[in-house]
This record gives sequence, C-alpha cells and structure tokens, in this order.
Amino acid sequence: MTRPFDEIDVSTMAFWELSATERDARLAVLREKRPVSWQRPAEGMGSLPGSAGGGYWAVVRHADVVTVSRDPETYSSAQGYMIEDIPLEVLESAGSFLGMDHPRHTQLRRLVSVAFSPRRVRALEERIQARATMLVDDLLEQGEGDFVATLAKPLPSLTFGEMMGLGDGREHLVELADNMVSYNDPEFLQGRDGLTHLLETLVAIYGEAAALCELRRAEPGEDILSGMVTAEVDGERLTDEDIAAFLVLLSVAANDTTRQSISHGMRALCAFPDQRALLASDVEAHLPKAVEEIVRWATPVMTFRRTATRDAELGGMPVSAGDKVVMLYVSANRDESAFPDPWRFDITREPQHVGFGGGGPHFCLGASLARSMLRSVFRELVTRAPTLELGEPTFLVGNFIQGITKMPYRV
Amino acid sequence: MGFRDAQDVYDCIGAIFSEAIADPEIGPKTKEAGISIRFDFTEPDSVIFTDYATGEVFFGDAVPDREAAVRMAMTADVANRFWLGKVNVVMAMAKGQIKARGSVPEMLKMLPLAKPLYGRYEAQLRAKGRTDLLDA
Repeated sequence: MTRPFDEIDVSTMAFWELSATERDARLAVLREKRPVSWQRPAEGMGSLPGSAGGGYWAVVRHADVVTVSRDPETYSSAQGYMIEDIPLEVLESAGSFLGMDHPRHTQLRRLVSVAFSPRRVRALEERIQARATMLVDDLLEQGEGDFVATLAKPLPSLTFGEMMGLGDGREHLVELADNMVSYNDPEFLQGRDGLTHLLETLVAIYGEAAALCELRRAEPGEDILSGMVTAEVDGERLTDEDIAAFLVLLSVAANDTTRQSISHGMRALCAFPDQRALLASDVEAHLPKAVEEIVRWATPVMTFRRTATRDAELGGMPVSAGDKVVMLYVSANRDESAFPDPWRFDITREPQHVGFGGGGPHFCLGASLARSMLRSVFRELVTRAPTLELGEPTFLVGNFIQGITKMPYRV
Repeated sequence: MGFRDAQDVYDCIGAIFSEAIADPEIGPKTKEAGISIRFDFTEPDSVIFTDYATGEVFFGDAVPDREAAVRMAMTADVANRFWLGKVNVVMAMAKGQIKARGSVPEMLKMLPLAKPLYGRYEAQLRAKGRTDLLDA
C-alpha cells in the first residue's frame, strides 16, 4: 500500500540542521495533530536497492514512545535500529545486542549488565567523583577554553577506558567512537560518503578489538573485555566479531551520550540562572532530580527505530507488519502532555523522561553510570564554578546524536 | 579440501552470482543497484566480473578489460564461507581477509541481497556433491 508522506517532513537533513527550537516547533504540530505520521525515507546514507517507496512511522508523543519501547514483541529491534537505511550487515557489526530481540538480546546483555549494576556503579562512585574534581580543577585553572574538550569529553572517556581496561589505547578508541556518530555531519565528512566513513571507522574499531581480544585471552584482567573473552553463551565462546560489536556499541553509548548531557546540562544551567541558583542553594537535595532534568533537556540520543512484527494500532494509526517505526525521543521529551511548559528547564520536575529510552528491555544499560557521572560533575560545577559562562556551541549535524562538538567557556 | 581449480570456482561461486541475477525477486534489485564488481580470487587464482546493470557474469579469460565500479580481493575460501553465511564482512576487512576498493558503499548496500541466497548456495553445493566445501 502506498500512503502519502506527511507534509511536515522530518526526513531531510535540512530538518536536522535546524536549531532544536525550530525543529521542535514543527514536531509540536505533529504531536498535536498527527502524533504517528508516515514519513518518506530518511536522507543520509541513501536508499538500499529494492527499498524504493518505503517510509516509516514517526512517533513523536511521550506515551507512544513508551508503548513502542515496552512492546518488543510487536516492535522488533532485530531488523534495523537507525532511522536511515543502513545495510543490516553493517548494523549488526556496530550494534551488538542493541539490534537484537529476546532471547539473544537477553543473553548478550546479561554478560555485561553486571558491570553496570547500581551496586557496581556505587563501588566506582568515589573514583568518578575524584576524577570529576580533578577535571574541574583543570577547568578552573585554565580559566577559559573549550568546555567539551576540557570536561565533557574526558570524564566519560576516562571512566569507559577504566571499565574496559583500555589503558593507553583509550584515546584512539574514543576518537573512533566520535567518528562513528559523525556520519551525517558535512563539516566532518568534507564531501566524503557517510557509509564509506562508517565502514572505515568500523573496520578500524574491529582491528582494535581483535588485538584487544588477543591480549585479554593471554592475560585476562578484571575489566569488561576480559569477562567477554572468557564468557560463554549456550556453551559457546563469543567470537571476536561478537566482542568487536560489543566494543563498538559500548564505546559509542558510553562516550557520546554522557558527554552531550554534560554540555547541554551546563548550557541549560547558564540559560536558566534561577535553576542554577536553586541547585546551588542545596546541591545534595536537588541533584537527583536535576540530573534527570538534564538528561531530558539534552536527549543525547534523538532517534531509534523498530520494525513491526505484526499489525498493530499506534496513536490511532494502523501499523502493518514490516513497517518501520521511528521513536523521536527528542520530541517525546518536549511533549506538552508529559512535561508542562517543556521548554522550561526545571530541576524540580517529576522525572519521567525518555532520555534513557522509554523502558522495556532496551532501556539504557549505562543509566546508573551516567547518573553517577552527571551527579559528580554538576556537584563540582555548581559549587566551585559559580561564575562559569558559555559561548555559542558548535552543533553536530545528524539525525541520531544531539551533539555539541565545541563550546567555549570562561570562569 | 578447497576448490580444485579456477573452473571449480566458477562452477560453484560463479553459479550463485548468475542465480542472483536470474532470480525474479533478487534480480531486479541487483539491476537497480546497477554497479559492476570484479572479484579477484586467490587459491586458486580466478576472476569473476559481475555487471549488474546488464545482468552479465564473466569468468576468467572472458572478463572484460574495463574498470569495475568495485574491485574486491580475497581467497576463494573466504568467498565460499561468505556464501555460506559465515563471514562478517566488516571483520574480514579489518583482518585484511577481504580488500575492497572503488564504490565500497554501493557494494555494502548489496549485502542484504546476498543473505536470501546463502541457503541456495549450500543446496547447490550439495546437489553438486561438494559437501567438502560446507565445512569451510
């Protein structure tokens, strides 16, 4: 069946190049009038042979994002998870359990989930706090510079490096993870093809992974990678490919998301001085909810896709088996029906955002860790850098990560 | 055991390319992709040239002189394992088992078309009595 594409087009790169508020003005119309709309295929990588005429359902309301997230039997992750048509073979290499359904998803996720449990994170908390203190020392000492490079980027990357036991190899891997999510950004690509770039980055990470697997097999440590090389699923060892896909997933998920929350969060505190003052007035009391509001505000991951396994109704629209369904967390986190006055940054809101996903089996594995890092860094920033000011950020262009690549600061 | 000689490669691996192009479901999609790919195999040395725009597959000496949009190099064993669904292309490239140059993204976009053929490749090998190649 051919359905007409919605007149509000969220598939063009021009749409994703708009500022967040301009973009949301259009999404607000969809939220009100057509919360589940049929969209033409997303621009970016170009279409796959034989996929012409396809499209996807754009899900923009908070409640519908939650519905899709919590019904993995109807909305599968195993047939692609990006808004764009990326060959499944490439996605499988990049996403590990992100692109799987139960039971394989459950089995693989379980292998690493223990490392991210609230208990394990509590054990790491002291070191995370010490690192945040040290990085804020540097930031204050420098007086001015790039907020992203000085603080937002190193905190998650150092934590990730430690958990994976990367040592000196960390920086290279983090750089590759950065490259991973820049496949839409014209400034980054400089005329090159996004898919070529994605593949080259993947190939480089796979090369790193193969070398790391060999090292860990010879000399296992306490880190997550060592756990993976010795783990068994259904009586079988994981292959280097399985572990490499894990590494790609974790390096992007661990680095590119918390970093964006730190940058967007600081920007929000500067833009809403009353909220900054409120947080400073009693940091420990306000911090937990403030962190949730920062994640809502930042929405580092803007979109993920599912594919319907059976006919269903969603937001009053008939979804057919095989249809692609894209959740726009970036819209759901500004849904007026879930968040009154959604463009007000308010650290006293009751947290119900979908910044870690809408619940269900794919809920962010690293949520506890991210919260811990955000608490540590904002505890420091609010108490020790009360005069910190930010200049205009440079935004990453793309339909996946809501990114800030550079942002000047001064104290 | 592996492939006996170049002709053996054409009979087994070459046949699956021809089948893809002739398939009523997959054929039109390969035509839409419209690129040409030259495969340089080693062990044994053999060459396959597929032109998806015209639907032609050339082997060995019959391979045309013109430049293909994508040029790929690998051992015939890697190609065999690919068609059995046992090769992760990204890892194979990372390990240097597959080398590709030219319009690599266009080649990547064709990968989903290969998947439905894995089972048929295996069936072809069985029909030819080449179960030795299945354990690759």
